[in-house]
Amino acid sequence: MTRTLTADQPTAVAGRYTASILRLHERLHYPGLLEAVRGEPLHHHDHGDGLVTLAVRDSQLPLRYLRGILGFRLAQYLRLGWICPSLVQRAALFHEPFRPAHGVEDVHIVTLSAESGRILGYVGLSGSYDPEPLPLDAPGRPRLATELAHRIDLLGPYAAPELHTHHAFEVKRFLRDQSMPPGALASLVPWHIVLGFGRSLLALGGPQRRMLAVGDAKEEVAIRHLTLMGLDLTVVDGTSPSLPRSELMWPIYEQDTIAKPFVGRLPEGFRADMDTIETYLTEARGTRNAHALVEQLARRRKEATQP
Amino acid sequence: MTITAPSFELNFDVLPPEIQRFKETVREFAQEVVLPRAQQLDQAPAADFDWDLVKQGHALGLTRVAVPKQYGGLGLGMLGISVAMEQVAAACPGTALIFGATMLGQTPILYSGDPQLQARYLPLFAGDEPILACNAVTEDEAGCDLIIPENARHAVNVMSARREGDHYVLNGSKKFITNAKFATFASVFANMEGHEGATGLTSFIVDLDQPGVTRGPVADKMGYRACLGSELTFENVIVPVENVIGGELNGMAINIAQSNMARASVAGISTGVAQGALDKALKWCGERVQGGQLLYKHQFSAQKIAEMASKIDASRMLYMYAANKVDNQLPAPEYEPAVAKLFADRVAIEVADTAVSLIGARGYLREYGVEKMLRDSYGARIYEGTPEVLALAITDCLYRVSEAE
Repeated sequence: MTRTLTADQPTAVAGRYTASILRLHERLHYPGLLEAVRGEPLHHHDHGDGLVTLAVRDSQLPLRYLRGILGFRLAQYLRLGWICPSLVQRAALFHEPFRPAHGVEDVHIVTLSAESGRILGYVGLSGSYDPEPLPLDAPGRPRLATELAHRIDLLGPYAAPELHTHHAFEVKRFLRDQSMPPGALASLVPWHIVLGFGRSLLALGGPQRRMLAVGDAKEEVAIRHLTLMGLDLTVVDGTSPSLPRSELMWPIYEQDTIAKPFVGRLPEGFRADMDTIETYLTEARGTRNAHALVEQLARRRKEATQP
Repeated sequence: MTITAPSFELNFDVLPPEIQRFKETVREFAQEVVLPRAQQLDQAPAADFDWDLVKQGHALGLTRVAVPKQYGGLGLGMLGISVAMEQVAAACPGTALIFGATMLGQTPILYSGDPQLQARYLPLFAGDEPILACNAVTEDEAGCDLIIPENARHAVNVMSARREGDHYVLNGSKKFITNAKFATFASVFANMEGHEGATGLTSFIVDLDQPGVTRGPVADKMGYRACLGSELTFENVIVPVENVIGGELNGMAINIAQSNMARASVAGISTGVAQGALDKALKWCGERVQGGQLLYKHQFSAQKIAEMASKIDASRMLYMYAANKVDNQLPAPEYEPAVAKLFADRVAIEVADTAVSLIGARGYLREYGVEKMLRDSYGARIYEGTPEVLALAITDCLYRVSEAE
């Protein structure tokens, strides 16, 4: 009997390979990562709540740690069903592939367990491929991954003399260690990541806040969080994203809820919102009130939208 | 006229810069961290194990010297391992073997050239927490029967494997396995059911934290007490088909290839033992005055010291030459690593013996550490090929060449 294999029918071998890669990354901890960072991180938050968050550029990390971070990403993608196990197995991947050399370095925001060095949360900002900056509406501008998947021009509408492609960063999906048991620590991970993400955007945008955060996300989840944290977000409706079956990440667009593309800008009060989140994270455990924080941020959003 | 340049220049005064830097780092670790603990590790109960030492060695990369850089390793090959082993062994060969045995457990994976197997196992060594591996060949009734092809059919009661669908079932036990107590996985050799003796030998990578695997008690050894050797028992242990190295029935070839790769590094360990013993003898003979002059100025002592040094230099040259060949030749050569190991193992015993003799009564006392080196020196004469097994390998190569001519 001839059996035809397609990418959406993971073989038993692919299933075992996936299980093996998940076990591999569950064993890998990086307590030495903090000390290994070269130079000043873009963000470093360590206030004794059991979590440490760092935001660093590619070149600030030894390759071994970078592979570890990309490995965490691969493991979570596999757990979430966002990546094709058969393609992962055939390519013998144990970490998400490195991006080819590009014009602007990527930024990695990583939350680790302070005790074990285990990676618990992650979000990334991918820099532009363009060796030299291009105007956002430049003809033939290489498209970002999100633009390709949704088949739209996200940057063109924001063309302005002071903005170019090196100001645009693509937001990788927010990830949390799926094997982490629920509890107080687990609930803090997203806030750590959000703070690291926001502080990184501020650092990259500089005093003029020249930066565009582009990506796609589920409306009821990440887009809500991005809005709550204060990003000035434009969400594009009506796209039908997809990737060819030869692409590792094609299953991410086969989920029940389709991600929507967005472009985020830094409003004037963004730094204050980050300060608010930081204050919340530095409060003692007993006095920390997540509901109050959400209410405070939501109130600000409401005030900002009122004429 | 075409002038053909030599393919490479053999100059062992200058190691490749990365290996030279690594050698210096490892030397510092060996002398400042390992050496002060060597005596205590030697005299501790057999099952005592110093994880902190492993952790510090792991931080330097000693568990991933030969692991390619793409998997988070150092990618320094057999030359890098052998040089590092000499440095650690000069302080404590038992500690060196913890890392050496881990490398031995990795070797079949490296040798397999199977990217999926490599992706599943090699990055384990790239985290900050150390893990160990081991190589499980020897059994209660089978030692060199599992490494000499002509002996294979005579092997008895060899650990068995049988295929059931997409996995194998392993049954049997292995003995004297360094790191078995703590290793995360082992390279294991078992005979396929239905094949006589060990003629169906097949190589597997086996996760040791799974049902059916039992780690036995630690053997109380004469030397190499810093590393633990123990038994591994496998009772209906399930191993997926992807974990076979090189296909069914190729275990003997894998085992031989693995030994050929590893012997240069064991020669490095023996060279280190000899160097450690010489260092102690040099210190003593440079301080001790008898008959009105320092010991080394007495002709009999001078001759002993000079011979020790000459043997060590020769030993070092041989293992470096062999390691360099292993790194640059496929398949790994059989002859050079066997010669290097045969010579270096003997030199370790001779030099340690001479060191005890030079230091006299103090050499016989535990506190001076030289008698430990003499006990340790006998270890490498057993693992990874006894002199008898090495002699067969060497003469086999010599007669193979003359027959080919």
